[in-house]
Amino acid sequence: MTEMDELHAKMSILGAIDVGIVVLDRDYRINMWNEFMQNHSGLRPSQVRDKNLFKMCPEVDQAWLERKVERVWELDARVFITWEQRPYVFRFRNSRPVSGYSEWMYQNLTIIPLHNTRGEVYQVCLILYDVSEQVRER
Amino acid sequence: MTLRVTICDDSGMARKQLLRTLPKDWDAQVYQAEHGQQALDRVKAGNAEVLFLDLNMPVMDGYQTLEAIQQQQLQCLVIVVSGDIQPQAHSRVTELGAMAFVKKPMGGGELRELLQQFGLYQPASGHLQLVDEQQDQPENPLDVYREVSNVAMGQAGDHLARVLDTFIELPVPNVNFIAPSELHMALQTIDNTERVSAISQGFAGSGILGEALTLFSDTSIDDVCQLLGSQLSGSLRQQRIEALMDIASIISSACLNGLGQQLHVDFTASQPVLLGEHKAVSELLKESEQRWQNILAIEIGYQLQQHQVGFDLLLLFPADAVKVLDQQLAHWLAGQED
Repeated sequence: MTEMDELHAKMSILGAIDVGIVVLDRDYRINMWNEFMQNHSGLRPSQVRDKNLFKMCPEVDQAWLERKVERVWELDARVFITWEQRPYVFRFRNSRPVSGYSEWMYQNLTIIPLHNTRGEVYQVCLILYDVSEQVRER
Repeated sequence: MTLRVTICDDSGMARKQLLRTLPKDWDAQVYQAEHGQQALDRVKAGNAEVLFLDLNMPVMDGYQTLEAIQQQQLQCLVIVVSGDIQPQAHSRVTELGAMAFVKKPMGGGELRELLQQFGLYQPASGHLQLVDEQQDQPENPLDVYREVSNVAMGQAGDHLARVLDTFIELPVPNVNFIAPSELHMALQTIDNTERVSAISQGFAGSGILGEALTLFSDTSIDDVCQLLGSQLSGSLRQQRIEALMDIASIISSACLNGLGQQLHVDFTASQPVLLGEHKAVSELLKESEQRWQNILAIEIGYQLQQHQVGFDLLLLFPADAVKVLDQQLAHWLAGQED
């Protein structure tokens, strides 16, 4: 397998997993936006690329999310957010629009630092999980 | 003139580690002390012209020792060696008269430079002698875990201090093998009769699987909420959960980072789960009692200075993880010998 093949495989996986991936730079510009995010928001990667996250998704509570993200930059450590403290970060419809338990998608969010080759925090990555089923089972 | 030096640390392993770091060609006699009171005795006996002093110890901690040295005007140059890396810890010991502050684990080069800088050491000036007053105690296997946790919890304390903007009192980690039903016995910071809420986070690295539990007594949650104040949002219950999640992820991430750096293991932590709210400690791990007979429990109780707030981080390793952990620690100890 060549490096290109491997990269291609990784990108396909990134597109197929049922988890939202958003990579942000220091100024909250979107560097990566995977298919999960695209499919649930209706925004294509080409539309959001290098745009400010809060401009593209005005429903996101900016002051609150900034506090969490800044902590990742400062401490170089992950931050976890659970649906129990805030049911959703992005206002997405339930992924089962007909038989689903609620109108909106319940979400857990993990924010991780991404490092450059010198080991410095270079970007942050938001990983968004759909936990609506878990919530229903409760 | 041969210099008299005392190494004071409650962990035999930490003392050995420091001993190995001292220059072999240093014209010095080395004594040991297990806590501050013993260190003071050494100072008074004239056996500690230089004192390497840990901060978090039982009987008499490093701060109290420094205070006593200052009050009694004892002649002694103190180098604090600690896993506590909060800037406030540094300034506190400087105010109490410490000559230098170095963080654990310290490298040999760094130490030589420091000693040379203070004119305490010249290369090839003699040779290091260990004064073996007390027979070398057989190494307590739990000592290794305690020392590794010590360094890890210092990092976590520093992160916590920055977020909460207050000084964090670091404890001596409490290490035990327990049955899950005895969980309450592993807790020193939280009163057994109190109701607690707990966040659980699984972690894994190089085949070592474990779980980090962060426990808050109901009374301390409200205090933490107050400290985080404007950073919280939503209903009262949501605010409480947010405070729990924030604190739990800060300390477990930093502790795992610190642990991982020492063991050369990259731990990944899973999403934290709210294990229970307002429960008795004994109820928390009820369902798991059947599965594990023995787990390694490392308890780290954090206290916030000037607030009556305390919470516990418990790192739990089931028996099969302990096997891998021990192998990893054996590598680590071997690496220290070099």
